[in-house]
This record gives sequence, structure tokens and C-alpha cells, in this order.
Amino acid sequence: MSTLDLGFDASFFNNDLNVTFDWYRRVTSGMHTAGEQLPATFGAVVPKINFGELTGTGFELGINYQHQFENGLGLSASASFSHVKEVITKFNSQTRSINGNYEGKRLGEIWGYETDRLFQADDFDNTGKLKAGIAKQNKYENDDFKFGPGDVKYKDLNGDGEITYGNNTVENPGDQKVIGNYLPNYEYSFSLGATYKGFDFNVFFQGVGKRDFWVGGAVGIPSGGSGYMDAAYAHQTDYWTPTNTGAFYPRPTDMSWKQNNQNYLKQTRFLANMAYLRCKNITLGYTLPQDIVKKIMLQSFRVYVSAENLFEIDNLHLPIDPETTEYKRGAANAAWSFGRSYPFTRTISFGLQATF
Amino acid sequence: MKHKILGLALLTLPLVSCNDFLTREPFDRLRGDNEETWNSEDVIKYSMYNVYPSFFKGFNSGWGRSDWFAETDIADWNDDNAQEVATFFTKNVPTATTAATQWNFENVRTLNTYLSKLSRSTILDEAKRHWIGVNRFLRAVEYAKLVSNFGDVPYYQEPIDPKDKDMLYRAFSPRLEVMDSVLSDMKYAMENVRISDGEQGLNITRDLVYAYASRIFLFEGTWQKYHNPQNAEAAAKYLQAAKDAADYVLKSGRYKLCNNYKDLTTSVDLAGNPEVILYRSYVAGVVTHSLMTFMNTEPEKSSPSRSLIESYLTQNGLPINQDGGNTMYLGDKDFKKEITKRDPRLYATIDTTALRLPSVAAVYATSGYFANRFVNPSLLNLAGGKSYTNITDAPVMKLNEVMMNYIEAAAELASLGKYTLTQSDFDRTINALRKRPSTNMPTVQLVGDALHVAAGEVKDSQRDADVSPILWEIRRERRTELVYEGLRFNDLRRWKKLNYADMVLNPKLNMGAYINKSAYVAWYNRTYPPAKPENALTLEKLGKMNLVQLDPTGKYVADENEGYIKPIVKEGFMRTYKERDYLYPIPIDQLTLYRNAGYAIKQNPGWEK
Repeated sequence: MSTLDLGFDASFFNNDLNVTFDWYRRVTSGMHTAGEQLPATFGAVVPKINFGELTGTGFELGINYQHQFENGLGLSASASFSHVKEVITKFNSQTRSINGNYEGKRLGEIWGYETDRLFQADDFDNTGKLKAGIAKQNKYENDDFKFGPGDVKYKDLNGDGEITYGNNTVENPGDQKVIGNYLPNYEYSFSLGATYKGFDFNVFFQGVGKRDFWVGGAVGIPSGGSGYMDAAYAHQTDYWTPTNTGAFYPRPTDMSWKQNNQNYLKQTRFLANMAYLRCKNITLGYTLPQDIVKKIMLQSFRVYVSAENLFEIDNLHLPIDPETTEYKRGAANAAWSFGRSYPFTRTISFGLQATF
Repeated sequence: MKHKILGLALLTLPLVSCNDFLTREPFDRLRGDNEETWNSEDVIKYSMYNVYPSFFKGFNSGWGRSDWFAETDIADWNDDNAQEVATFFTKNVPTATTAATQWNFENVRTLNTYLSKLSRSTILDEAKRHWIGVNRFLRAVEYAKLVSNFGDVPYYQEPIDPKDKDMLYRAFSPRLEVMDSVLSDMKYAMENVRISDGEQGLNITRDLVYAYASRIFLFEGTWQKYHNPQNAEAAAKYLQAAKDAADYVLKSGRYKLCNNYKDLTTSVDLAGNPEVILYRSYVAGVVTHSLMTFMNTEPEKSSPSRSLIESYLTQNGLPINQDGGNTMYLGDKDFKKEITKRDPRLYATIDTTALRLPSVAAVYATSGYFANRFVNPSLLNLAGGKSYTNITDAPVMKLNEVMMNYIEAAAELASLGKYTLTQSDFDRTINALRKRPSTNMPTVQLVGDALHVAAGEVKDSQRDADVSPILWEIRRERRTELVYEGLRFNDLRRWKKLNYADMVLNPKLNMGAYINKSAYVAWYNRTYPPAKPENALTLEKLGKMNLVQLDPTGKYVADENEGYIKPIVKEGFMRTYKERDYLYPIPIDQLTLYRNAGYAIKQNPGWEK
């Protein structure tokens, strides 16, 4: 492992403002990975060798400001911002399957389809066949599911008149592309604080600028749980019907156990936008002046109100916490149980601190 | 000085002795790369047991399915079962190489590794030749399977070094070249594998080699005959090899048919069954299966098709559709009449007490006919017949199949003008099977180009015009004698008759019993008198069924009240076949690997795009 780090620390205005910045490139080489992929004629699992290499490029920025005004007002502010992009720079994969590792793969990437819109009745002719000029989606049909009005229409990215997965390889992904990344990108946080005449106020925000997640299971996919009898959730009631043609969800079908199928192939429309800004903490406190405190035989006395996880701002179409990670899945980390984790608790506490 | 030398000697002692001490072999493990390992015959034998389950799967184990009866592609891709939901032929070329793609060389590598170790082993010559024979036999079986699935395949006789690109990506050998290597492996095994080795029926013996040879070369001979008519020479060569191999087993006198047909598929212990050449033994607590459970306690969503039921003869030895009529056949409008005086092998294969209709019986059969060939009635309420703890033994190779291989190879050779059939060919095969006490069907006489029974010449009006009357009857006998043994799909493939497995082209595949709804309701309430009147079966409870009738123009039309059960109504949901389905596609990731490495291989015909 080798790291190249360029950075600086700077202080301005009598150390009131501090700035630190680092840019780094970390290369992890000789990782124990699969050796060269061999054809099945080899007849055994290919021995692993020390070959893989992962390169992470990122930066961290921290800004800190504090100042005490002469009139007694104290201000402080700090912010941090960081981002890292990790790319596999050496890996033996001759098939370069998009489902596996390959040279040039960015960690966390999600391959999927671009959603065009929902099919409407006038996309089909009288016999139920797609009209000419509309890309076929037969590859994803089976004996009890055929695409019809109200189903998802995918975009024919390669323009061959058919929605396909090609070879599921980087060179021939059909109509798939990288539609997102499930690792947190652009992580940031900032806090503001002020003190004035015994009052103190502090607020701390934290967030992620970009993160996507493909949510399987009944939370992400209507009736997508362990059986077709799984009812749809309240947030899934905006589904397509002949009279509600502008719905968000397609017409209801039995999606039990089908996490990447039919109407719910990994795609842009139902990709969860997990970017958020969360107010982690707000504290307002008041410390009694010393002269009053002394009268009541105390050394110090402070009352405060503090709120944890008070609110968050996000753009998520699902009733889950945007900080939910892949690792917080239910039974056996199964994809269908995603979202069944305890949410972050909102806590509001009142308190007093007295020192005798 | 002396003390110093001693001291120095003591100091060096740990340095030298450590070496030996640390490289001791583990006591609980054998190392395949240790040449000593291969000098013990016991070790060689147990190493071979390692691959037995993959070659002789029997009924599989646990909840796993094998190709018997239903629920695997090979079990379903034929015309024996009507299905609630069709098992389609492969739709798209698989993108990744999984077990289902059949493109697998693990056994080839294992056997080639064993062979290269064995060649340096110091065991006695006889033992060495025996074990090399066993390995070459298994390699032949494996390559015959690869060829049958893919046609041309790369052929390997030694384990490949991962760096040897030219070997790894070697060009595919033509099918016939590979089959010649299979033939030479088989010939070596025929000469060198022991006639008897350990427990009878549980080890690879010379008879087993011959029996498998009859199966494999019958496949190749008929494949060549029907798929490559210009290769008549090759067809004759393999058919001759199949016939000779079967002949050896028949002549050996070491096997004879058992008295009760159903014992073959329901016995708790097949040891001592004189008909069984190899079986897989299931023992409670050791290895058990679930085929009987599956056939007995779960609804049969794949169940005997009309096509299968109609193929059974009546007890006069004539087909039900005998040209000019069969007076013994009472028609198909009533189940009890339909199965009256039929080949008793039918009674060993389906539940004869009643039909089990989807809306009436909890454990139903989609076609109404409920298959039970693997159900042992005495185990019904015991652990050995339930869950995944079934203990009935699986016959892997039996004399009755060898007989059918013999007569078919002989008849095919005769059709190529390379042999003349005789009455004795039939007496030692089909007639022997028909004389089995539990079967007891009329024997056939060869008269010119036809078969006769006491009731007259066997003339099936439903015969496929492509098939001669004698071959037609041989194929019928094979189908009924070896039903649900996982052979039918490969039979259809080698005869180039996958159209039989096409639900549109073969309507009787997607068809079950004949039901007259009101007559059925009346019969049901008479047979199972309801405890309370409201429990009685009614037309409403019977519900809607998809029934079809044959109209005078020969077309099947829907009927509300009576007709044949037609499980799948919409043509789009039926299994249909294409020419390409005769061979499996090579997975796309393999093609990509070859291309990227600068080698070229061809996808099988019809799968290119």
C-alpha cells in the first residue's frame, strides 16, 4: 500500500480561521484476487494470486472559524467536506462482466437501465402487440408476464430496437449503463455556535451529497416481499390504472421474490436518492450569572434543551431513513428485507447542570 | 575444548532436527500431490467414491431433484408429463457458466488427474489396470455426455496447466473424433475392469461398463443415423458397438429380470435384486432422498400426459388405436374403463383408484392421472417415506434397459441393412420383459417387417409415418418399461423427434383425463359418501375446468361440460421447440474468453444471436 498525500494547513486572523486541505492517492496493490480467468475447460477453480490493485483518489477539506467579539458575542463555525473515488486499477477479468470486478470499475457502481416512462394504451395495437418503432422488451417476459399498458418502458440506449442486457459485459452491456453509486459521495458536515451573555447555541449538520441505492424487497417494490400476498405499503398507492395514467408506480403485478425483474429491473425511476442533510444536534443553553449562582450556594448552574436528529432534508421517495446502509438489512441480510431496520431516534432532551 | 564441541553440537541440534519435525504430514488428511497416496489401493478406491455421486446420482439426496419423473429440465423436456406451467426449452444463451448450462469440465479434470497419478502408482499390475479402466470408463461417460449436449467439444486426456493457453483454448474436436476416443476408453475398460469388485451392485464392474456402453453408443448410433444420414458408416459402427455391449451383458448370465416390476423403483434395499447392475443405496441417517415424498405428498403439477397413458397396450398386446379397432379397449371416457385390461406396467406407474382432479384433491395431478411409480405403500406413514428422509434405493443401471438397448440397436442396424433381425432377438428382450410375472403380456412374433401377437398383427393407426412398425413398437416398449427414468428427453433428441415434446405440435402432451363433469360429481359422491349433505361435491365446487373435445374435423375445441383436461390453454404459454434445441448453447462468457485470448470457437447452430 502506498499513499501520496499533498496538503496544507493554514491559519489566518490570529488563528481565528484555520483551513486544512489534503489531496491523496492511495494505491493498494498485490491484493489477493482471482488469477486470470480461465475457460471452463480448465476444470477447476482458478487459483488466487496477488494481483489486484485498488486506487483511491480523494480529498478532505476542513475549515474552522472562531472569534470572540468585544461585546461578549462569541461565534464559532466549522465545516468539513470530503470525497473519495476508488477504482480498481488492476484485476484479471477477461469477461469483464458488469456483475463482477473488472479493471476500471469504480467501487459502488450500480448498473441498470434508464427508465423512459410507463407504457400507455396507445403504445399497443389492437392485438396487444407493441406498435412499430417502440423498442421490444420480450427478453424480460415470461409465461405469466407480458408487457402491456401501465408497465415500465425502458430506454433503448443502444438503439437496436430491443431492450437487452447484451452480454452483461462492460463492452456490451446492452441497454444498461452505470446509473448510480451506492457508496456515500461528497460527505459533509458543518456546525455553527454562538455564545452571548450566558446563552449558548450550537447546531450541527451532517450530510451526504450523493448516494443512490437500489432498494429491493417490499419497501422498494410493491408486493415485492416474500409472497404475492404481501400488501402494498401506503407510499405505493400511486400506481398505474387506465384512469391514473400519470402514476409513479406501474400497474400492480405479482413481484414476490423478484428483485430485478420485469417492471423492476434496476433502473433510474425507482433508484432511491439517498442524499440528505440531517440536523444531528441543536442545543440551546443558558448559564446563570455567577452572582445569582453564588446566592443559591452553587458553583455553576446551566439549563439547556437539546435535540438530536431533529429533521432531515432529502429527496427520497421511500419511507426509510436515508442513512440506511446495505448492512442494515433484515434476516440474513436478504435483499427483500431491506429497510426493516430501526430508524434513527429523534430525541429532545431538557436538562440542567448544577455544580456544587 | 571437549565441552565447547559438545556445546556447539547441542546448539546445532535443534537447527537440523526442526526441519523434519515441522514438515510432518497431517494425520487426518490425504494429500493428492503426494505420490505415496496413490500407492495404496484403498486410497484409490475411496478417491473414486468421491466422484460416484456426480456420475450415479440416483434419486439425488436431501431435497435435491434428479432427472427422474419431473422438476428438472431433462425430466420435463419430453412428452410424458402434462404440465400446469410449461418448462420451456432454453430461451436465451446463458451469459454465465453455471451448472445448468452443462458446460463443465470438472469431472474431466478430476479423472485426468487421477489417471496421471495412477500411471505412476506402484500397486500390482492387475489392480492398476482395473483402476485405470474405471477412470477411463468414467471419462468416456463424461465425454459422451458432453458430446450429446454440445456436439463438438475440446478433448483432453491430461490435466491442463493453467499457463498452457494453447491447451486451455484448444480447438474443438469433431464429434465423431471425440466419440472414437470414448470408444477406445470403453474398450480399455471392457478388457481391464474387474468382473466383480467388492459389494455387488455398489461398485463399478465390467458388466456396468458394457451396460453403459450400450446406452452411450445407442445414443451416438441413432444420433448419427437421424441427424447426419450421410454418416451411415459411423451410425452402423456405433450401433454395432451398442449391440455387442448389450449382448455381452445378456450373455453373461449374471443378471436376470426380477419378478415384480415395481420392486425396481420402490425397494428399501436393492441388494440382491438380480436385475440391478448398479444402484445407489439410501440409508436412514446416512444419505436419503425426497423423490417418494415429492410424488406422494405434493400436488403433481407435472403428471402423466394423455400421450403417455395412450402408449400403454391393452392386455391382448395391441395398441389402443389398433388399425381396424381393438375390442379390448373400452374407450377413454371413463377412467376405470380406460385403464381396464391395460399393460400392468401402467398400474405400477399411476394411481389406479381414481383420478385426482385439481379442484377436488389436495394432492392433485394436473392431468388427473396421478403418477406413483416411486411410491412404496408400506413406507407411507414412516419417516422413510416422508420429508427428505426417503430410504428407497435408486436403480442406476438395470438389465431391462440393456435389453431395450439391444433390441433397438439391432433393429436400427437391420434398417441400415447391416443385420437381420431374428425371433430370438425379440425373445431375449421384449418377450423376456413381457414374461416378467408382474407384467405378463402377450409375446411378439417377428413376421416379415411386422410384429404379431396372438390377436394379430400389431398395427398402430397413430404411428408416426417416419418410423417403421417394428421400431415404433420397440420405442413404445422402451417408453413404457423405462418410464420416468430420465431417458426420454435424450431418446427424443437422438431420434430427432423433439416435436413430440412440443405442446402445440403434440396436443396429447398438453392433455389429461376425459372428464364429464356431472357424471364425475355423481360418481364421486357415490364413492365417497359425504358425512353431511353440504359436504357433497357439486358442479360449483368442481369449478371451471379447461376441457376440450375432438370435433369431427379432427380439431380440439373447448367444451364447458365434458372433454379432455387441457392444462395450458394459451398457445403462448405452451412449450414449443426449435431445431437449435437439439444441442445446448455454449455460455456467452466462454465465447468472450476465447475471443479475448485470440482463439475462435463456434456457437452451436441456431444460438449464434
